[in-house]
Amino acid sequence: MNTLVNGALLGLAYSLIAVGMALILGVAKIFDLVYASYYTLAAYVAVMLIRWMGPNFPIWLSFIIAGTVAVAFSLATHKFLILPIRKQGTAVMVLTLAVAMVIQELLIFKEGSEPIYLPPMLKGAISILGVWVPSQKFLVAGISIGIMGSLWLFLSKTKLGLAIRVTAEQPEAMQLAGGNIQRICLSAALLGGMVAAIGGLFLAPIFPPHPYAWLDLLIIAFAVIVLGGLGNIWGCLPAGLILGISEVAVAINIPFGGIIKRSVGLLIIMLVLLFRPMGLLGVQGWEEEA
Amino acid sequence: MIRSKNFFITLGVLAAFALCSIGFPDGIALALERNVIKIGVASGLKRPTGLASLQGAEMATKEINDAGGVLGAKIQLFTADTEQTAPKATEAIEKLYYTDKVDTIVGAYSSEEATAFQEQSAKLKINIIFHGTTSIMDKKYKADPEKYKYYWNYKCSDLHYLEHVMGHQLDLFVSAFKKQLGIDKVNIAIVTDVALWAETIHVGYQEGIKARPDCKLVYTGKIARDSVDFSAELTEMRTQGVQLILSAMGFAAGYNFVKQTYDVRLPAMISGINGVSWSTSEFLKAVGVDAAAYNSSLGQNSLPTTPHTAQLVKKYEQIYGGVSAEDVGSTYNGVKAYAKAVEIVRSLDHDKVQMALKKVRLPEREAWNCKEFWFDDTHRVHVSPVDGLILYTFQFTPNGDVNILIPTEYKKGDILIPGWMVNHWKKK
Repeated sequence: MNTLVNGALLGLAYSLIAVGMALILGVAKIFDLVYASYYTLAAYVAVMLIRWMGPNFPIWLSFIIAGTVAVAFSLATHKFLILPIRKQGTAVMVLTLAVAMVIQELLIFKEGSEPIYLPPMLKGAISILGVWVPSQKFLVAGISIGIMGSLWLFLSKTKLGLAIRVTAEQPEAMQLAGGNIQRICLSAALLGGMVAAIGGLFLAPIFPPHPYAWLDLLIIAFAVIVLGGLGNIWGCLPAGLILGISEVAVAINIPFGGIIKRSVGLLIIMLVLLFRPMGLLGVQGWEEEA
Repeated sequence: MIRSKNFFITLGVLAAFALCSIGFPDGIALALERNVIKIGVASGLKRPTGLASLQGAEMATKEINDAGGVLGAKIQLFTADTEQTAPKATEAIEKLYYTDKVDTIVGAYSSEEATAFQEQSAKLKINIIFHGTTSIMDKKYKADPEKYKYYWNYKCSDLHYLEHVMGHQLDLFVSAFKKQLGIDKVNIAIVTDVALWAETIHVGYQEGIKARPDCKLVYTGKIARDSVDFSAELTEMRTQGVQLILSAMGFAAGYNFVKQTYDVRLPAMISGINGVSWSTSEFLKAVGVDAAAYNSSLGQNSLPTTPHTAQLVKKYEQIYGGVSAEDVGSTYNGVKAYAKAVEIVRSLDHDKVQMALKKVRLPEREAWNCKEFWFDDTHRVHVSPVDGLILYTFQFTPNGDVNILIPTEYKKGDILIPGWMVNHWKKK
């Protein structure tokens, strides 16, 4: 039961980390390595705001401001850096890696390299089936499911959502229909940035961010995306669950599992890419350029 | 007249020879070959521990320079960032040695850096006064004292820590649990991270607990230094009925562990060595007062346990505007010890200073958190509450104060087991 409950909650958190990146990857067909930095940036801005404005500053307002900053940064990165070289995949990866490292260094310069701590929105712990877990984890699980549901509604019920889906699945058709691919890619960046910011703000009390955290988050996101199928947003949910449950199983059932549990994600990436390069639930040709 | 003039000249020459042979009294000491002593500070300067070690060196340097320097020579500090990794630590030493041409190197923090430093001291034949909790370094020194004679350790070893926890701290907790919970046997978990020093302690904890009839080892685990999520492990500990967690963690994982243990309200206290690397205020800020009151840490150098340390901590607060971290005291003592050694031999020659460092005795008024500071036969600081570096155990109280439990000389109160925890176990 411990493995299932804690694994599922961890898995939902992982899904939340990965889904925004999966969206950007699916639509724009690019590996945005800055993605995890939007996540850390949101948490850092919130912490700084709370510090500057004092403890009476409403936390929800700090979240809105921090989220807006992270989303604006995501949009700016895509508009001015990524989109101009979007079709050169390697260049995009190198560029976004450089941006992520610059952000890392700036955060170290400003805040030092130790983790920062955001207060949990839900304090205390809840027992579910005899397993006690921090209440904040349930909140994150709810938010993860909520975001998945909202994304599903948005992508299936709105015109922009339809355009994003068509761009992801049949980019030529969208181009032939006169769709503005760049604008659609920016919409995906906006959505991805929003999801990352929400993830950063709500996950920070559980996974305290630090300047180097982007790399860990990126590995988790890659593991989930690869497992769920490259370019397949919906695959993030089962993939996150599989990864979370596997990690917990390793942590508590294997001697010294606590040390090696984080290798599970990397192992999954290696195995899946070796035997099924498009991911477990992915489709052939997902990388076809938009 | 001429006779008496010659007499006085002869007398003057003889007096000069006599002074040379017996040494000059303080204040008219012979000048060094240079008027600047260059000391390198190698540390993870982007981390709180690294900054703390730099600040400690700065404080000692300012005190020495304000008092006229070392035999008239002023100390000048140079820095290099080790990023707390062995490869970068090696680069940092080379930068300080070849580029800045320093006379000695002080710094902190990890055993991985320290082992790299130990090798560099042997290669470059320069005195390095540094951290290094792992007792592997002592073994290396004992195996080849000539090779490693330039390395000096102002931090106690993992074996000292182990002795303190198993010999003193654990008794305190087990007695409190038995008395306050009305039990005969305490359920113990051992959780450590994977630093070199923590590995030794993990094994030592296991052996120690197994040998005690009033303790039962019900859980052991190891965590990565940067682990953030312990929910599953804590659930296992709850299932096993853990009442006391013996920890050995030096990195952020330790903070997260304390915080999450409290978040899930695991009815178990955390003792051992945890969260001592940052300052007490940083620890409180990171984990919160309620969670901190769960955790009784073994500390060294960050709390004012001697009257002189209290003055230094106050002085630190005035200069840097915060509570001093452990590593402030280490480099403070390191710089002071080096300066004293130079005074003894009146030279900056590495070999002469190396010999003199063995003779250095810093009394309490010249050292941080020490009754007396000197290096023992393994080139490691002498640890003892009576006449050496003082190790202590403290607990945060629910109002954020610090309650010193060990050594008894500085004791402020008894162990507080949170009331809800006592109620939980009494119901069982």
